[in-house]
Amino acid sequence: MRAQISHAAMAIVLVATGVFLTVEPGSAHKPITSPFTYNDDVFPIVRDKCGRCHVSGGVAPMSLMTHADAVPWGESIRTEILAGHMPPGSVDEAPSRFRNATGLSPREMNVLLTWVTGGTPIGDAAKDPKPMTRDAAWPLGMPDIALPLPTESVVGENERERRTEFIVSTGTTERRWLRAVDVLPGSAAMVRAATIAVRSPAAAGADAGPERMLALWLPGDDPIAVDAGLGFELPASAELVVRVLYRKTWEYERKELKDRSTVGLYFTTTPATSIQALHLAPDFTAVGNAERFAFRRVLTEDSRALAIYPETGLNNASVKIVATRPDKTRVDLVAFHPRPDWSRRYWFREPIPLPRGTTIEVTTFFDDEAPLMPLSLSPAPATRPDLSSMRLTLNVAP
Amino acid sequence: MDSAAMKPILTAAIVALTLATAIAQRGKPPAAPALPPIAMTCIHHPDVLESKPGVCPYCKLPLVPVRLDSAWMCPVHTTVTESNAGKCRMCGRQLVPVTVSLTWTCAADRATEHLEPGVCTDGSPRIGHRTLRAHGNHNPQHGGQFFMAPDSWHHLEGVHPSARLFRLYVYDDYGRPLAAAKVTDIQARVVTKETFDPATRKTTEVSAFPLKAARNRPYLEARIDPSTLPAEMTAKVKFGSDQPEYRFDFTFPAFSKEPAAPTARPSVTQPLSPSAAPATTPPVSSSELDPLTPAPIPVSMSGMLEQLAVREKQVGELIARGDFAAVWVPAFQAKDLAIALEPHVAHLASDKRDAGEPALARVVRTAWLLDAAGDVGNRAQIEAVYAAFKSAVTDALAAFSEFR
Repeated sequence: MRAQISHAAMAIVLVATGVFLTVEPGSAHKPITSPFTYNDDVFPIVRDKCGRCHVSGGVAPMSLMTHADAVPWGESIRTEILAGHMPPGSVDEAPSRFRNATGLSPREMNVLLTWVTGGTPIGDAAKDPKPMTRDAAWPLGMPDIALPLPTESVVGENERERRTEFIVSTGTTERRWLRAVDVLPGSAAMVRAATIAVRSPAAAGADAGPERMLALWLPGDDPIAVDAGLGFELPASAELVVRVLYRKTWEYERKELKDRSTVGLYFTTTPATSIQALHLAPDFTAVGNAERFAFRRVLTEDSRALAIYPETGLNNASVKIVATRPDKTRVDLVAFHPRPDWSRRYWFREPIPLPRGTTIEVTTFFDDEAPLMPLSLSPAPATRPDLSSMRLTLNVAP
Repeated sequence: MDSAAMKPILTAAIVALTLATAIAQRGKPPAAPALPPIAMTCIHHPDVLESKPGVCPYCKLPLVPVRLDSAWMCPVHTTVTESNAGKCRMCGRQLVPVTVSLTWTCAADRATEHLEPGVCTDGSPRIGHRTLRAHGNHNPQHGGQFFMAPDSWHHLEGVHPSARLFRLYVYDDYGRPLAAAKVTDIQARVVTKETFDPATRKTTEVSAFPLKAARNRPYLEARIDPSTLPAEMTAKVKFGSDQPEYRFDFTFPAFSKEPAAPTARPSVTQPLSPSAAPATTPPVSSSELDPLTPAPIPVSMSGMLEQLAVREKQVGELIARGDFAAVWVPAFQAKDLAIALEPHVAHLASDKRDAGEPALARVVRTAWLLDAAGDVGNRAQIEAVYAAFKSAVTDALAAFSEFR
């Protein structure tokens, strides 16, 4: 790790060692050991916020679950935190509004940045964490139906990435409702993302029915079970359309990896109110330019907003979605950065009532954070995304 | 206030309170004053610093132990290093903070370096040595402004000794002047006037002057149009033909003056003693906060918020006057205030909590970005970071407005 000694740590350690010095403006890079140690302070944070992926056998390119694992990646940790890239999937506003918006608290962020810039001390060796391995289990317990993907996928030794689509027959004989859908990777080190949609099978001489998204799966995410009384409708004899993104990390260069993941379906115990998908896309009302692009949709039915997810991934863009009810009350639904291949469905902690006539306004901004990064970290200028390509889906219930 | 002339003191009272903060953060008392801890480094890549044995990530050589410490060095007589701030024993110049490695040897065997003091075989105590480390000296040596290049190896000092003159000293990662032969490899110019078109994001240089290696001098120099103070100018530097061009924005509130030696030799510097700390710390009014001196975190939420607002303004003022290297002091104070405010988010109404929680995280993140940007001296970059920092502070203060 290229040691970049922090100013904050300097003050603390000078104090702790009883040394009294004047502070000269312009001084930098002092040889200070962070007051935060891996065993005492850093491990609990990376275990809880990073450990689902950054663990031996996980999908991330390195484990952070021991001091020896984490230290060589100190500068990368610093870069990713300062860029706001890790942990992925955080929202820009009101994380407590959601069930699954990850992120670092101010204290956690400061602990990690102080540690990586302050000498990465290990702390009390007697407190070394026990070796961790990836937990290969269903977080919600065994599913009602476990459907292995129909074929094994092979990512060859000369391949880094592959996207594969599978059609999986559910074999159900009657209409059911799903409270949750999950994926158990077969080869967790390369299952980078997956989407699971449902459709009615093709009748004789006709195309298959339209797809409805059931789940967006990302490594490290626990599936969200919907509230009682609600569910995603699963028609009889439904087919699942499973699209998997496989991506190998540098650890598996020149190696062939195989995967056969399993999709798990969790049914409601009773018939439920079907969760609907409300697509948000630009229409003739859309206005904007390369810096800012906005469009809106007016609800024609009374609804409860349950979740929202992007169908488009955009680099260097941020999205803000606001609902304005007929009584002029305004609700900030979500603001986030829609990064490609990190599409997550954000579940509201509580359903948000949106009466008929409510206007949903989506605004997409060019968010060039490149100038914020120290030149040594991010010298490349940001490329401008096509803001008008943004598409989202709002999941609602009547 | 001219930061270059400032000597802000971490008062014993503030130290005591900061110590209490450090103890509270760690939940246990700090170690008794002792030798600095041993770190592991590479003999070829001294900026590699690990806490455990291993191999260098660059050259794969085994890491070797090193004991690093802060010390104070004479900017001219580099053999003079002291444990405490003060003045050079040889010339009386103010000592500057540096990073050193500590070793001990015996007179009978100077080749063998030990990492601890001790007793030699002849019964005499080992002799201690301090050796300057890479990135150990980020101090201007000729009265100018000092920046670290984004390549993390070169360091520069811009000097404006008179209205028609700009000099650029270039140092290595130890703060040592670059060899004359290497100085001639540098392609650089100083721009005293330029325009920027926000629509096209294009910068046009109006007045630019080539920086040429001075004969038998360790700097590049350019004759420029007469400046008026405060003088703003930009050095655009390529350290090699295949290297990117870096931008360094200097602001000179006054003409640079070489550090002068006083006429009389100073008296022996008396190190401050921890016992000098007063038992209690008087509260510091936000209006009295020195931008370059850390202050205790106020106990009351209103005090924290008031101080946060002051620190944000101080960051802006330092940037406005081009004192980029000092920005980290109030920025980190703001960061510490944000962390202290974090537990109080729970006391806010839900809509305010929604706004306050991410705003505090943004304060912390942008404070760290200010720290990094301040080192490299690119005005556009640090102003962009400051805009984000200011926005974060504004949002945090708005979320906590009922407590102000």
